Amino acid sequence: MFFPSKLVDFRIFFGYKCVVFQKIGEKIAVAGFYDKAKFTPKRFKWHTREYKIEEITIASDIKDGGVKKRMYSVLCSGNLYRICFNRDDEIWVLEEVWLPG
Amino acid sequence: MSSNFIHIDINSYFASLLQQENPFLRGKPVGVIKDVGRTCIIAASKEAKKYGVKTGSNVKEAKKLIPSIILIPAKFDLYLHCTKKLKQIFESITPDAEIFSLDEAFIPLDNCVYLYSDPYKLALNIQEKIKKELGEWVTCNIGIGENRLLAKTAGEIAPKGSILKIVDEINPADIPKEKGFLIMTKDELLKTAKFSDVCGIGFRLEERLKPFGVEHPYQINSLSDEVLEKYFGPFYSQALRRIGKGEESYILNRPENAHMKGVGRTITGYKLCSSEDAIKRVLYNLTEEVTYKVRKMDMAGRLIFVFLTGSNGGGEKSWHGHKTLKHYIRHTNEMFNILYHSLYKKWKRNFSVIRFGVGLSLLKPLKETPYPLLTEWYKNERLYKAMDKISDKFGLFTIRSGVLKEEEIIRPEVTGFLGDKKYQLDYN
Repeated sequence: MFFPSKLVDFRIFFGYKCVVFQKIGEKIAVAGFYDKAKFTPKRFKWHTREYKIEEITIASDIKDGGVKKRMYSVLCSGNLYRICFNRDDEIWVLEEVWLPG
Repeated sequence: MSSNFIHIDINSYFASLLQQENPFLRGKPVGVIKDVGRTCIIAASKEAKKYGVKTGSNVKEAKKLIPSIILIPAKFDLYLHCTKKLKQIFESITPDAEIFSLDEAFIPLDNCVYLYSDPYKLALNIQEKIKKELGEWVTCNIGIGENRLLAKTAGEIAPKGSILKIVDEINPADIPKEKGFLIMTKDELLKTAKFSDVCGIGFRLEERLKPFGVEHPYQINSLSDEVLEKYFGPFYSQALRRIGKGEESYILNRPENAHMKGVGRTITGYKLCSSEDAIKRVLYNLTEEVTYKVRKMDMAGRLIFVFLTGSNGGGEKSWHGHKTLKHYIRHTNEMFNILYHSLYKKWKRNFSVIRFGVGLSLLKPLKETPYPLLTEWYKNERLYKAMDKISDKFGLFTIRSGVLKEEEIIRPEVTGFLGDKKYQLDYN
């Protein structure tokens, strides 16, 4: 095949040793506050456990056609979580988790 | 000499943003590659650069230099989002701020000299704003000079995270006491800067200057006008003369409000390809993206070009073709039919292809082009408008030609140079 149709997760592919990376893609519940028309997530609930967000390392907007998403990379107890808010259907999804190895 | 321009250059932009996003990567050598399986490093972190890994390095070479290098795929959505944030920061200082590439911008100070009388303080303020908006890990160099060339060159050679001002002469009273503030004379800059740090002089031009003993901009002044014209042609001789004097060259002095002149798209495959179907599919895919962007900007063009690069086992081969039409076009099928049947079919197929490029140039706003006479054109226009509406809502290629039905779609992406910045920043 000229262009690969299914991508292998490359960080594992190249033997990424210092952290453990996992794709999740599960719905979560998020609590936060609005201030000056800006939402800041503070906590999220994944399955039965609640996670307190200590730091948002970066937030970015993704646009695929008319579907706008906002991606937050957040630190909770030393682990990195990438959570995504679909502004179209207003659903939060936990995309990835990075844990120290 | 007055300080008329500030140039901001974010340090190791692609890698720094990934390190900002993921603290596990901070302080570690990171190489950014375009995608899974790619072998070219498109950006390196500050830590990797210390060991000699740079943009364009091969993954094999990089691993030899740093066996523990971490390779991460680029996140173009993140980069474009952050560039839009940077644009907001710069335009809050002056609406004349000019985004030069994904991670570079110029701020002309002429119109805001009363608001910001001290360029050093303004530069420091910009650095702080960038850190606040993009994160602590994102640092930038700032160059200050009387024109874009001096400001940009200063920004390129300044130590990471510092501010360098270029002046005609240094008065003891001008020497900044604060850490990270530096000052240099224009002559010193032109005598010491390498051509790789000077915008407008690429690798090939640098190699052509070497036999004349010219390795720094100032040395261009030792060459006579006749020599420059004879060996570098009428165009580059003038550009080089200006650079030698520390004056702005044509490349940096681009009219900001002008519309885009052309839209092109290139892609490098994972391996050599000789399948007729695969080549046709890639060319159609790229044509679709080009014409979508042209229509989105409400323009039309009349110069179609295509190029292919590859190998036949005996080294790199390339082929290109172009056709200038008498009428303007903007519909995918029309462009592809000309590109495929009138240009591509003339190629002798004497090598396998790895790199593809297509483009539509000589663009004009649609309202400035002559009205088409054929009813067929209006029918197609309505069809493409309807398709574009679907693409705007659900993403490009949601509705697509049968040519693209089976294989993975090549999706639009941004480049570091941000060649299509007008489209990316104003229309996307």
